[in-house]
Amino acid sequence: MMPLQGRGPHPLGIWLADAPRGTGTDDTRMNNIFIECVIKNRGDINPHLLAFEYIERYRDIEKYVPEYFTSEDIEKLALPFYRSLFRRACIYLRIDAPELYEPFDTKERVPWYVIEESAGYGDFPNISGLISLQSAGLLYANEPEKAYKKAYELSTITDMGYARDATAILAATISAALSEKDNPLEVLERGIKTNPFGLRNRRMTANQWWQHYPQLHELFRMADESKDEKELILKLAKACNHLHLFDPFDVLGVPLTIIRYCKGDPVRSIIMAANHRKIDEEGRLIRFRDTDCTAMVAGAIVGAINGLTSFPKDWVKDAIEANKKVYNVDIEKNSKTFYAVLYQ
Amino acid sequence: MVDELEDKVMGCIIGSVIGDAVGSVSEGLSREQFINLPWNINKKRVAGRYDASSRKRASSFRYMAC
Repeated sequence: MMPLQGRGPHPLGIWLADAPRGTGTDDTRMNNIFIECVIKNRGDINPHLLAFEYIERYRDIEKYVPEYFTSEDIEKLALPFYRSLFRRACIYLRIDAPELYEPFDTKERVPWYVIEESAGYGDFPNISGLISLQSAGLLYANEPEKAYKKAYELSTITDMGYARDATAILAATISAALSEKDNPLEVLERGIKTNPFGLRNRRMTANQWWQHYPQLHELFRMADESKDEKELILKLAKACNHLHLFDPFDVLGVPLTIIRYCKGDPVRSIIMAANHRKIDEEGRLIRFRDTDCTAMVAGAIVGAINGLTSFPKDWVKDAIEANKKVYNVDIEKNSKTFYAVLYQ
Repeated sequence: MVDELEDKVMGCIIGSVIGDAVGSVSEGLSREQFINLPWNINKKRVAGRYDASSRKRASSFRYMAC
């Protein structure tokens, strides 16, 4: 991992300029809220508890920012980050708040049914559940259906439409990865086939209504037929070129495909996912896509399949130290405590 | 000694942070034709559990050029 030279702070990005290598972004911070909420509630978690956690962190924000943060840092970085979660939590709990009306360009009072669909992360299925609940599958070891149901329930706060199915499939896959039999291809198959609610026409797996959009089985075929990493990266780029940057199909489907190609190899899977890109008609790079999220999803799944000991030691050390320094978040301690709360 | 389930739980949580950190380096960049790597990593495909014997090469690998 290279240091993040030249990258300025951003509410949804990294909160420190020129942060050390290993520093995470909003994905890391959001998931850490989930982790600490589960720990605080001794393993019990539901949308109400999580929603109240989001509200508390916004209301008592000074308690949850790094020590070096100034009031300006809070105003420019922390508040915008927490405000979206706060809005979604208020909507879920039916709590009225002035912040709910900020996204609208009108002096009229916006009806609740409009706020419900628009406040927070926009009015389309997106990746907010994928990046805030990536550890939900850890709640149920080798019980994908339970993991799916719980993640689907928790995603009520932030997700809509097929984004909820995507968040739940990720949880089911991670739960499946916690089995003793850890053939990566079997793990992926179990995860994507988990469908405890019997959803028909699922966007994430197969859907005749989306026949003109990429389908997961088509991406998997690309993995099986590609001769090398470069070929697969370019095929995936072409297939996803027209998708929204925050389409859950993209942010879940691409890492699943890459993990299939890499047979679960942790380093190769993460690096390939960090190569996901938008290209022009000649296959030239226009820009990398939402690669922190695609690589994050890849990292969560391959980490669950292979364990922490499968990652290069310096990567683990850097990730632990950097996030402690930049966010005052001890991911090593939290992950140990999370495990102890659930399984000891 | 960490048991296997604990290793997997920690691997998932910390692995997601590692992925986030790795991916955040390339996110949105419009330079670098390819992150200088995947195609150079060893091509060994391992069925089933990841083969730890390939870790050393991977960990010494510097994969970002930017």
